[in-house]
Amino acid sequence: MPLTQVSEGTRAVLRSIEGGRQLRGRLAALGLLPGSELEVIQNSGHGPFVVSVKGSRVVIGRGMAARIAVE
Amino acid sequence: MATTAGKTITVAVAGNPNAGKTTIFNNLTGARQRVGNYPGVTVEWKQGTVKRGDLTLNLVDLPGTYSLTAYSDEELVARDYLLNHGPDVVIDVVDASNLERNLFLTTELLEIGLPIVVVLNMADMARARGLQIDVAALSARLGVPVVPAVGNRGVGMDDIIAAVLEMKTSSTHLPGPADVCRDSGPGPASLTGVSLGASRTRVNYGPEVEKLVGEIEDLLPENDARRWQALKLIESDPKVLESITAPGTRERIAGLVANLVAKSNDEVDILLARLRYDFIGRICGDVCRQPQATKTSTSDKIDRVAMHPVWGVPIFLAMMYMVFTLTFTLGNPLMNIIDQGFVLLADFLLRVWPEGVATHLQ
Repeated sequence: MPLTQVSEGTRAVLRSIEGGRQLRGRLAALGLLPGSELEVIQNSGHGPFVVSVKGSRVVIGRGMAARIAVE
Repeated sequence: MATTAGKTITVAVAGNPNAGKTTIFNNLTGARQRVGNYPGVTVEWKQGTVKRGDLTLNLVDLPGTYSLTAYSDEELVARDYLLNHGPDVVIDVVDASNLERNLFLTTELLEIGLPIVVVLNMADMARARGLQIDVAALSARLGVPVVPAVGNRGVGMDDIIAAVLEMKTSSTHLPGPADVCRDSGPGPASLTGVSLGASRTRVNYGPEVEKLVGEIEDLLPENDARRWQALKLIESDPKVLESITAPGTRERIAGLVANLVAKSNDEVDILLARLRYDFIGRICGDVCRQPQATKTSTSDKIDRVAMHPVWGVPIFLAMMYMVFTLTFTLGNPLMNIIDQGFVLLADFLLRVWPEGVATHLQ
């Protein structure tokens, strides 16, 4: 399911990223790559989307979050 | 000991956005800085100097980046500077409370092959969050000096400069690892937990990738950044590919990489990123003591209230109102004082001014 559907405080594992080399590279540098464990810190339906990954907090765009599949 | 009298050392300051790079840069250079611009790119960089005796350190503040890919202007600027301007030493500012993510850039910097000093910034904040980092162990694992610092309080600045100078001195007379160890006896650097000398570490990407890296390296002209170039070629970095001009080389590299692509479940760039993070994870597992549970930080608590979808806006408006009111309540008396000052000055001048043309001007 897309990351946007994960509610606050829930842990998930990143499965795949729907996007080109550029998006993949950017997210990988932030620690978001297939297999990464993450926790959704903030997902209020609008505004910033915040996840915690590898001990760091990362703010990503909602559009970007929609292209990240997790389970 | 090689003499560095009257010399200028160029030092690039690299790091993640928000790692405190610019604070450290400002602290090191004081007021002697200027803003520059890379030719043809709109990303700014700053330059400043530090003097130590007759030695001048020329510091270049690179744009903050998470990695050194070819996909954003900042990253291109940073890596072009590192590859083409050949700084003598690179200061890699690492945010201690986001160690894993920050070390990702460090692994790329290690691959570029320049002398590196890692500055572990905001270690006090990390400690407040319950995260303990063994600085000496981190230094040993990375094979480069690690200097703890607190940028906004100016802590550790002298240690950074000492480490840079020692790095430069030891790399000018090209010693073997043992040689550097002898040099880094109980000086000021060792007192801060910095250990120089262990040969720099490289990420081990496993037999398959390492074999491929070796094969590609053999096709490239001899230079310090060859390993980094080979890895970028495996990731099909467009700019590095462009730089390969020898006839037939690009095709041979593509052929070699195709084998890995066929065998890997992941995209190759993801595979390399994962192997980098595995390497970082092993280091962090050994040198960090993490807090038991993810403790709610103060910033989380503030965020919960201030970023609330309903209360966020009223809180923001209230804060702005306070700023506005304070500006005027505090500003009014000051404005009156200035006003009175001018009135008094005018009176005084009128009294002492000799009778003449100028007095009719009022």
